[in-house]
Amino acid sequence: MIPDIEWISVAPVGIVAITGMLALIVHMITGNPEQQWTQKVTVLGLLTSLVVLVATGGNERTSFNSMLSLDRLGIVAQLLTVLSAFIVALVSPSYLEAKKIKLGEFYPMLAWATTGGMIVCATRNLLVLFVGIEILSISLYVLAGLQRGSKRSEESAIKYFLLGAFATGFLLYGIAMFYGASGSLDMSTALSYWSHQGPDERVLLSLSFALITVGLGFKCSLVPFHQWTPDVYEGAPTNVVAFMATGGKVGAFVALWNFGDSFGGAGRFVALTIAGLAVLSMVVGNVLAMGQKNLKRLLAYSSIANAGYVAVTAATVASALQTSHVSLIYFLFGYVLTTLGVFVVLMMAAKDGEEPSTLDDLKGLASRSPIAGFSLVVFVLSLIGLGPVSGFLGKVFVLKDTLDANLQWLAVVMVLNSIFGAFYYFGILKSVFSPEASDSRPITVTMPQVLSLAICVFGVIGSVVFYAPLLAHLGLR
Amino acid sequence: MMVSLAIWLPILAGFLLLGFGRSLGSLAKSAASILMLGVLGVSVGLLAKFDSAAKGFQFSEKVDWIRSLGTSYSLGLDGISIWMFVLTAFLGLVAVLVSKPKERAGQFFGQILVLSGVLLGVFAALDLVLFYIFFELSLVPVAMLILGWGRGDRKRAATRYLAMLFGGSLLMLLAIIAVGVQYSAVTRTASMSIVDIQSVVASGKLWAGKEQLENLAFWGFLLAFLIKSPAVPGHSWLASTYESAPVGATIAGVVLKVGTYGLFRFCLPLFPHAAAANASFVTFLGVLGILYGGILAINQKNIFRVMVFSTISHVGFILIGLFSFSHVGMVGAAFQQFNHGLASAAVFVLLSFLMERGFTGEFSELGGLKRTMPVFASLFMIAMLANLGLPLTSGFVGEILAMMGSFESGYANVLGLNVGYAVAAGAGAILSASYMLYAYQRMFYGEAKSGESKDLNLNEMLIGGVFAAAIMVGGILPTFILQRMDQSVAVTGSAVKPNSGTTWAEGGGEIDASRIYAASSQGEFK
Repeated sequence: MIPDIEWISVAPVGIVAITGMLALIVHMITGNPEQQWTQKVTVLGLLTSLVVLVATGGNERTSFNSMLSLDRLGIVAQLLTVLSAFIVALVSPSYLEAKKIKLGEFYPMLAWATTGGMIVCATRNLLVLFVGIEILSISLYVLAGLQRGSKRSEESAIKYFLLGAFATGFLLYGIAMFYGASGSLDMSTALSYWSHQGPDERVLLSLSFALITVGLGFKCSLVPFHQWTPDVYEGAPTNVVAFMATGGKVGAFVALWNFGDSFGGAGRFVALTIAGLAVLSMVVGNVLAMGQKNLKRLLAYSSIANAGYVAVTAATVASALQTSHVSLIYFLFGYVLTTLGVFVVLMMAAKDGEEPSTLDDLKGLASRSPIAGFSLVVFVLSLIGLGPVSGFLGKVFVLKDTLDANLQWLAVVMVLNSIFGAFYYFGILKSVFSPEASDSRPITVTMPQVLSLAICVFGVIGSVVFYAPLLAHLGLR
Repeated sequence: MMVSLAIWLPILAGFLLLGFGRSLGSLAKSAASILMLGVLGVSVGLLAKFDSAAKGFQFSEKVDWIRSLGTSYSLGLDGISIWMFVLTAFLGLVAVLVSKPKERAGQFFGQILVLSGVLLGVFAALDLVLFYIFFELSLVPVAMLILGWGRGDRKRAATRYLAMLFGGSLLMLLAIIAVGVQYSAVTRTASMSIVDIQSVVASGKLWAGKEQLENLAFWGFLLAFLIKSPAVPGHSWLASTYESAPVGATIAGVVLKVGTYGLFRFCLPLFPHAAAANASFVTFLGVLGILYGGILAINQKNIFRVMVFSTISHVGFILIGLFSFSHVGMVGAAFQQFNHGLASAAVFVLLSFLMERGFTGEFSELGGLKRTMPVFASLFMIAMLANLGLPLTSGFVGEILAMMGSFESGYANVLGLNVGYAVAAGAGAILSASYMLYAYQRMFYGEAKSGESKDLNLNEMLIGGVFAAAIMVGGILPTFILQRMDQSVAVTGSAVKPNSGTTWAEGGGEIDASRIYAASSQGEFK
């Protein structure tokens, strides 16, 4: 039987994939080392995909014989993935130019990474999930090594690739076991198989749970599968890291949540395992971030801690099956915009092709560029979770779910972790507003940078102030 | 609308100054002071319209905000908060007037304006989440002011300030969410409005069978507010903040008693059983603070540190008054938290004049100022006497009422309190006289040591004079203030009796008006 196919459901993904191809063709035709046409095609394509997503994002739907299942979470996550790629593509030209990265492959690769991320967001089929993760990862391996002259960049690419390939092995093995035990590739069948099977199949399913957790844990950079994160963040070009930390993570986060949702009924051990990873990630991420002088490593540990917060939501949904995904959606919304904003500011602060690598390099940023300085205040507050910013409200929602799911201890751990967060995030502000500047030259701000910062700042504050209209637009209560 | 106006006007103007202040140059200060004058005008207008007989919140505003949490943008003032509201506006104006930042004036005044607006929000918020947002947000401008314009080891001071206060209040966030979850479990609706929550508390339903949760949530709030106040074990941030913060920031943001206000507004009415169960412990901390602060304040090397320990000692009086749960004591606490803001701000204002003349506040370089700066000396005397609680100054009223409340509950042997606490607090009052007068002696008598010591100019005299007048008026005619506090304190006081049925929505239970007035007038004329 031919499955019913809704082409419109895959249109946004398709557009992004085709954009990548078009961008590559344009790049080959023009051969322009400045890549301005390549960039324009990519930005336009991503924008089209955004528009189509917003226009068609009406109903939750499944298609392709339920290999594609677009629920609210999937739609919003796709939106966030495309949005982060869009902003990264928007601000990249001046950065690539300053870094003298003349490889036109950046934009097509970015588009394809986005394609992979979008696929991951929109499926509960393990095989499709795997394909999506691989498209995303392989593009990111290439992107990480984009700065050919730099040893750091190459090192980070090879490290990312080797560890990533290893993690993929775990994931695939887990998927195979799942199939072997249940005869299905659809995660959401896990629960019914669990309850209808004998102990042997249960062992297989438990093993597949463990292996898939390792694979997804790597992609989300949960502790103890996080070691690649600081090195890759440090070595890869900043614009690539900006995407890696936002669009590249959203898919993995959503997959983790879906995974927790599907397996949750199998027993308390699922929720507790994920909760354990969450606690480790929050504590290790936050504590190690406190000692960091290197900015990108600090942000890497911060993203590990944030992955911990996401894992908290996954643990919540695994332990109380009724939990809605609104908290995760809102949290991701804030996380993506905040993180993007921080990286855009870092790219702006670059001088002579070198972005600020240590906290000291940020000194006096506020006086060099007030726009960058004050946007950074908003982002840092959101990362700390302080004031009317999405980071605060996101945490409130996650905490509320955690209490609802009777995981009080997890809520306490999460709250106490924020204290460490306040320390090192505030360290960023201390440098930015430090009177002694490391460099007194004012920063010339380009139009795309201002636009991106405006989107991020407005999103971070606006999503709190205009909470109800925002959720209505996202199709949520 | 007027309350919102008073809150958002300075915040928005502050952001404008932060962004474009540089182009304004020296006009920034005038712009900021005119704006704060307007805000003060609005808040005084609210005070004039305030109905002291009404029981609930006045000037209420409520707009739906986040349905799933039950959070609304909900503001209102009662007899306790209106005074803090007016005081905040006033101190914001004063902070602008006395500050002369050497660099980036636009940004400095921008921060002060944002700070004032946010603190106004703290005192007006009637929704737990909204309150928390304002409460936390108020930390940022103070930390930024310390970082950008502070003295000494400012990075350390700013970090300590932010980390201690932020860290202290994190468990409050968890408690807030827990209260919200419990509220929706009981009522099947979501609300974070303290009026709604308290009405379910008063009916005894919210915490029925959940005593442990009530106690934990109470501690979440208590911890945050005790550190913010600060009460003794959590006070170490205050020393570095007073020493490092620019005086304007101290006046606008630190002397205000947000912590004790929070105890008044949230801890007592929302967790009556837990508050009663822990009353003797908090009273103990209060007495400890009075004695500890009083003793340590005597032998400090620097006037700012004297103020640190005097603040801790004053907070002790607020705590014993509040947790006596007697009407007199609670009125005293409400009055004392207003007075403390006024009287210590007066000292800081005068100190800012001194620092402009090149002094740092170390006693080693002060002395003999009485001869060279007689006007300054007499204004400082008044401010100091208000701090030590001399009759006829506003400091006396709050302190004596708080102690009376503590005696009353102590004699009655309720809540595990006894007279010993009150007696010990009385000894603390003597300590305050000794450390204040000793500090005064070291500053104003003896040999003049260094610095230029020209007496106050007309502007400075005017500002100092306003404070002196306010202190005297507060001491001679406290009924003007007490009358407007009375009803609200009574509602809070009877709400804290478990299962009282007293709500903000419907107003208070029984109060013995004649007894209260007898008590307050004793305090007035003794």
